[in-house]
Formats: sequence, structure tokens, C-alpha cells
Amino acid sequence: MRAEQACVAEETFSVVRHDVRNKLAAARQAAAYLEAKSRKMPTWGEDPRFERFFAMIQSQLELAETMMAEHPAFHRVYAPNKVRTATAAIIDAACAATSAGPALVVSRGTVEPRDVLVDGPEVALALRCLIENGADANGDLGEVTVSGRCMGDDYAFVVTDQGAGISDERFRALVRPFETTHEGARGLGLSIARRVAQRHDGVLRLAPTERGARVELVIGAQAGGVE
Amino acid sequence: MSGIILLIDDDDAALLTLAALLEDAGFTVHTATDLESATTELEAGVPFDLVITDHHLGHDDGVMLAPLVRRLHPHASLAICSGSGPPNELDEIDAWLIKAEAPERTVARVRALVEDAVRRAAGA
Repeated sequence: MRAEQACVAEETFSVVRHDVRNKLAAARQAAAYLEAKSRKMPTWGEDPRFERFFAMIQSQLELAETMMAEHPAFHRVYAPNKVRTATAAIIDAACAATSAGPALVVSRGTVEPRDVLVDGPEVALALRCLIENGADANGDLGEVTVSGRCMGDDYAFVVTDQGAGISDERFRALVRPFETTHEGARGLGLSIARRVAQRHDGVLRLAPTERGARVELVIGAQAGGVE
Repeated sequence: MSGIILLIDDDDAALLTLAALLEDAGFTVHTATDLESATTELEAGVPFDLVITDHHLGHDDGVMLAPLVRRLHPHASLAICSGSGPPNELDEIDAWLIKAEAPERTVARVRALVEDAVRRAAGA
């Protein structure tokens, strides 16, 4: 499965998983409260089905949790394939795949050369999402700059636009799946980039800049991501 | 032990049921459903020991309350309660509670967080 399809599927699964878990949690909490109260009532001892049914409710809810966590449909649909890849090649692939229209001007900033142990198509997809977000922020003017720098053992891909900028609060909201400021957009770009960063033991973060927005996709060294 | 908790969640069922569990465990629980009502509660002068906020509050992020909690309730613990696991960085909060955890485990973690706040207040 192509990286893009897999990432979209995974983000969709993550939303379903999150929402269903919330509903199950409320049911578990309600059952726990009612069980505690019921234990103090005379009928608890008189009717053994009270205890049996509360135990059944908890076990069924736990089973539903387990099924959701272990069901093949909720597993990653795209097995990572980490290989040593030059950071410049990842940036080239991301720039070549962007589809933000003719107004997009992507410039290469300084790219510190390094080989990183990553799933190349996946990281390139994450970078592409950030480039296209930057192009959206720019509107018809300005360019998106992509660069890369070593950060100790980690490596940061940096995407900078010349748009109006974004607050930390708004950035936090937009990394959630299906959050978007553009009608008709899927709202998955930043959430995909964040997930890719996390799968490479890194982070996606907003960095301070004088103009526009500067987003860093950091590939961590802890999982052997950088060489 | 007693303690005063502000619980924030935009999901009515989650709010109602967790509040009931915590009240049953001996805590005093105030509730809010969004950032605006949470801010009103935080500014009302109630000495909260613990603030538990849902991660996703509509289009907002519960972590956005952190600066206000730290400023107005410097001894209080701050926890995020979410249906998902924690992100890689947790700089601004004290704990990440998973909604799928067993209720008794959640209550135990809440108790520990309240105790932390009480210790901080006593040491101030």
C-alpha cells in the first residue's frame, strides 16, 4: 500500500479508536459507580445476578477494548521499511511530490548531509504535507523553504513559509486529524507528519521565526534513526 | 482523603461518570465543558488541588489551560485525560491519564496527584 493511503487509513483508524475508547470508558466508569453503590444495598446479597451482571459488563467492555486494540483492521496497515537514506534524497522526493499548484515555490535551504535510518517514503510524505501546508499559508505569494540540520544525534527537517504565522495553540489544534482551516481540505497533513515523527522517535514542533511559520520534523536518534 | 478537583471534558457522559466516581471516592468535584467555562472556574477563587482536562476540547486543546492553572493555582497538579496515549513531549503537565484505564486505577492516580498538590502547598 502506498505510504499516503496507509497514513490516511491510520489517521482515520486513530480517530475511530479514540472516540470508541471514550464511549467505552464512560460506560466502564458508570458501571463501576453503580456497582459500588449496589454493593451497599440489600438486594446485592439477595440476588446473585447483580454481581454476575456487573462482572459481565466489565468483562464485555474489556473485551471490546482488547478487540479494538488487537483487531487487524486497527493495526498499522503499512509496515515500516527503514533503510539508510540521504537526507537530501528525502527532501528531493518530498519537493518532487508536492501538489500545491503552480504558485508554490519551494527553495532548498541549507541541508546538512547525513544518512538517516528511516522509512524514506513515509518521511518524504510527512515533509510533503508540511510543504503543502506552507504553500497554503503563503497563498499566492512567497516561497516555502526546506532545509535540514543535525541536532546532536537527532536530525531536523525544517519547513518555513512566509505566511501570517500560527500560534502554538492553533498549531496544537491543527495536528489533530481532520482539523483544517481550509474548506474541502482533509485536515490530515500535520497529523500525518506528527505520527511519522513519533514513529521515528521524534517530534513535530513549531519553532520560533521572525516571519511566517517554521515547522520542524525531528527524527530521533533513540530508535537508531540517525547515523 | 479530600481534595478539590476541576474536571473538564466536552463529552457529557465522560464528565458525568468520572465526576461521580471521584465524588464517591471523597473528592469535591467542579466541572466544566470547554475552555471558557474552565477559565471561569479557575478564576473563581476555588483552591483547586488538581485540574483534569480532556485533551481534545472541541477544536481546542486542554493543554492550553496550563499557563492559567500554573499562574492561579501554582500548587495544583495538572493532568490530561485522553482516549489516546501521550505524545512524546509532556513538558507542561504532571500526568497523562488514559480513559481506558480501569476506574479504580484512575481513582488511585488521581489520589496521588492530589497528594502531590497538598505536599507542594504544605512546603510553600
